Amino acid sequence: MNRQQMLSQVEDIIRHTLKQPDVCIFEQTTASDIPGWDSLSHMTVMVAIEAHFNMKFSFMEMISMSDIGSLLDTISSKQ
Amino acid sequence: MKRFVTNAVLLLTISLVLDFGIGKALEYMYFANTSGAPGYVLNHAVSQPYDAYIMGASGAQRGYIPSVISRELGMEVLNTGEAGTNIFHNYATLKLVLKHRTPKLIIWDLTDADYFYRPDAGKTGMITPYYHDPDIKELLYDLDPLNKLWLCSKIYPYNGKILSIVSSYVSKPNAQAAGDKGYHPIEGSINLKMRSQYLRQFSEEQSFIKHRSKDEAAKDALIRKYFHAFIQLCRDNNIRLIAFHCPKAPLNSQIASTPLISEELRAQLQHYNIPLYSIMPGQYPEMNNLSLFFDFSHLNHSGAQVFSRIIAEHIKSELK
Amino acid sequence: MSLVSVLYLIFLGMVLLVYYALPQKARPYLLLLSSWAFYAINQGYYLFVLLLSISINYLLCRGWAKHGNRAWVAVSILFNLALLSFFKYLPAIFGFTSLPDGSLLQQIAIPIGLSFFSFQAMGYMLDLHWSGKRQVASMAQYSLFMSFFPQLLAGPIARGKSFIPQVSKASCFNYADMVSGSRRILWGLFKKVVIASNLSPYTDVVFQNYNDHQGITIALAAIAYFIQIYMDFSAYSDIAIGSARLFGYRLMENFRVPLSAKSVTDFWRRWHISLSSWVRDYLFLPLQYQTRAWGKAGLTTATMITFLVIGVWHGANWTLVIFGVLHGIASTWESHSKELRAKLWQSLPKRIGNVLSNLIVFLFIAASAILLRSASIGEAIAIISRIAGSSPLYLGSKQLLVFAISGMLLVFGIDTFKGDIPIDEYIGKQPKALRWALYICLIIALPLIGSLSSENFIYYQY
Repeated sequence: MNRQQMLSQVEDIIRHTLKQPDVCIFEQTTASDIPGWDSLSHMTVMVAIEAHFNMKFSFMEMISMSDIGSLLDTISSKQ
Repeated sequence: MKRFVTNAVLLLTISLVLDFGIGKALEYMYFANTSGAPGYVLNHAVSQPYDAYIMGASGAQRGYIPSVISRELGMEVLNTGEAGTNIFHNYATLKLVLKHRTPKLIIWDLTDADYFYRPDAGKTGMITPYYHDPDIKELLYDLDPLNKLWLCSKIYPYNGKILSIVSSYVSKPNAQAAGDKGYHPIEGSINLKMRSQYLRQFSEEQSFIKHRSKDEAAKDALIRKYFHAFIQLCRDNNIRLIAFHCPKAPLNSQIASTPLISEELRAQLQHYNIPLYSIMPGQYPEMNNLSLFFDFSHLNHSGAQVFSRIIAEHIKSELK
Repeated sequence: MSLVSVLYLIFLGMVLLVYYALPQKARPYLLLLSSWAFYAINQGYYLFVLLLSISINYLLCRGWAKHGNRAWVAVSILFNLALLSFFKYLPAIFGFTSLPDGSLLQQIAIPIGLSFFSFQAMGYMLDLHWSGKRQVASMAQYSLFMSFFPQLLAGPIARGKSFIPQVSKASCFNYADMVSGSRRILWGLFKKVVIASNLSPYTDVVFQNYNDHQGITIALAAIAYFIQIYMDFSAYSDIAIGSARLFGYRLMENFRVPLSAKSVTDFWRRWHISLSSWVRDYLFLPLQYQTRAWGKAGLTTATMITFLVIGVWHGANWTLVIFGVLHGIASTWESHSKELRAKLWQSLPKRIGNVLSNLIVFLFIAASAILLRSASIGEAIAIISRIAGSSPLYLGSKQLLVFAISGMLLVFGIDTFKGDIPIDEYIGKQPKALRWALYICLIIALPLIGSLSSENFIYYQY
C-alpha cells in the first residue's frame, strides 16, 4: 500500500468515526484542525485505525503523533 | 529599558495627577457632609460642641439614646457609635473632638473587642479621611505601616466611599440621616429559629480571648496601646469616663448572668478606677425580656429605651 | 505574602532589578535563591519539604536516566503521592483536623503549593519516561522548574518540556515582555481587588448565615461565589504569568474565557487549564488507552476517574468527591449524547442555542461551586435545598455590589470582544490612546473602588 492509499483510508476512518463526512486531511493536518477531534474522541479514532490496519499502537506512539504525517509513519513502520 | 522606564514614569505621573484631582474633589464633598449620618459621625462631632459623647461600636449606635440620657443629666449628648469599629475609632474621635472642646463626660460602650483584637471589629475607614491631622496620621501609620504608602494616594482615604460621598453631596442628607443625635433605632425582634447559631456565637465570643496566636498577640498589644492612651487622654483632660456594656439577648439563664467583659479587662478598668456597669438581664429584670432585642447582640428601639433609662440613672448617681 | 500585596510587588521589583543587573549566566541562580526565600517567607520551615521533594524527585529522574527501568517512574509517582497523602489527605482521613486544639498534628497545615509542585514533578518524570530520551535537566534547571516563585504557591502547573528550555535560553531585557507582563499584573490586580474582593463580603455573609436566607438570595450568592472564585483564581494566574513574563519566562495560560463554554467538557478546557490538561495528559489518556477495548464503558471509566482526581486534588473532603463525580457524570453524558445534543441545538436558531447552552453550563457550574464552598455534604445539601424556598432578597452592601458589577462589566465586556487570545495581546492590538485610557482607569479604580484589605487567594488552600 502506498502512502497516498494509506492517507485516503485514514481519511475515511476519520470521516466515519468523527461523523464529519466533508473533512479533508493532509500530511500536515493536526487533530486541532479537524472539528470534533478532541482528547475524548482521539482514542475512538485510534481504535478504529488499529482495527482497520490490524495492529496495536503503544501508548507512547499514540501520544507522540503530532500530525497525520507522523500517524502514517507509525502505521507504515508496523506493516 | 529606557523606553520602558520612561513610559512607566509617564503613566505613574498621569495617574498621580488624576488621583490628586479626584481625591481633592472627594475630600471637598466628604467634609461638606456634617449631618452626622452613619459614616459621617466624625464630621458632625468636630463641627458642633457637646457636653458628653457616647462612644462605641454598633452596640452604642443601636442601644444608647442621647435624648433619654440628656433629659436625665441635663447636658447635650452625642452618640458617636459606628458599626464594626473599636477603640481605635474612639481614640481618634476623642483626639479630634479635643481639638475644639473638652467634653465633661464619655459614656463608653465597652466590649472585649476593645482589648482583644477582632478582625470583624477593627474598621478604620471612618478615620482615614482625617489623615491630615498629625495625631490621626500617627495612629494610621501605627495600625498599618503600609499606610505610609497607601496615603500617598489622595483617593485612598475615601476608598470604597465614592457612591455614598457623591450621592449625599448631590442630594443633601435629610434631617433624619443622623437619627437621634447619632442613635439609630431598629425595629423588629429576635428570630428564635437562629437560637443554636446564637448559642454557638456566644461560646465563640467567650472563648476567642483564651487562645491568642502570635499574630493576634501582636495585634492585642497594638489595641491595648490605644486602650491605655484613650483612658490617659480622658484623665489628662479631666473627662469622666463611665463604662457600660450592652447585654446579649437572654436566651438562657447562663447568658443572662454572664458578665460579657473578661476578667482581665475588668481588672484594667478597676486599676484606672473607671466604673463599669454590666447591665446583665439576670440582675436587671426589666431587661430580661427577649422582645427587647433585635438580634443576639443588638437592642431594638423598645430595648434601647429601657436600657438608656437604666444607664442614665447610673450616670446620674456617678456624677453626684 | 499574597501576590496581591504591596510586599509582593516590592519583592518582585527588587528581584527584577538585580536580575537584569546580573550577567545572564547568574540569573537562573538568582531566581532560584529568591524563590526559596519567597517560600521561606510564606511557609517557614516547610521550605524543607520543598527542598526534600526537589532532591528526591531529581535523584529519581537521574536514576531513571541511568537505568531506564520503569521502577524509577513508579517510585517517583509513589513518593509524590505519599507526600501529598501525608500532608493533605491523612490528617483529614484520620480526623486529625478535628482533634482538640493544641495537638501537634493539628498544626500540620498543608504546605502551600504542595499540590502544585508535586504534580509538576510527576509530570516531568512521566514526560521523561514517555519521551524515551534519557536526558535529564541540570539540577539547577530542575530546581528552578520546581520552585519558580511566581507559580510556586498556586500554579499554573508548569511542564518541564516548555519551562526547562527557557532557563538556559538567553534572557535579555525585552521591552515587549516587560509591557506584556505589566499589563497582565495590572489586569490581575484589578480583577482581584475590584471584583473578587468586593464580592467576598457578600458571599461570606450569605453562606455563613445560610439559615437566614432562601430562594433567590442563595441562588444569587452561588452565582456570585462562582464569579468570585473565577476572578480570584484567574487574577492570581494573571499576576503569576505576568510576573514570569517580566523575567522573560512564558507560563502556560490557565484560563481561556471559561464563561463562554458551551459544555462542561468545554468548560474544563478553559478553566484551570494547567490542571485540566495535566490530568488529561497524564491520567485520562493513559486510562483511556488501557480501557480502549471496552468501547463506551472504557471512556466512561476513564472520564469518571479523571474527574474524581480533579475533585480530590482540591482537598480531602467528601464535598469535593461529589464535585468530581458530578462533573464526571456531566462530561460522560456529554460524550455519549453528542449527536442527540447536536440535533437539538440545530433545531434552534444558532444564537439562541449558543446562549442557552452557555447558560446551562454556567448554572451547573455555579450550583456545583456550592460544594466547593460547603464544609460538609450535610451543609451543601442544606444550602441547595434552601434554593427552593423564598425569603426577601438580600444584597449586602449595595455599594460593594455596584463596584463589583462595574468591574465585571469591564472584564466580561472585554472578554466577549477579545475571544480566546490572552488579555495582554488583546490590549496590545488597541490604539495607543485607548490602551493608556484603560491603564489609567484600572490604576485609579484600585484605590477608588477596590477592596484593599489583604485577603488570601481562595486557591491557596488547594
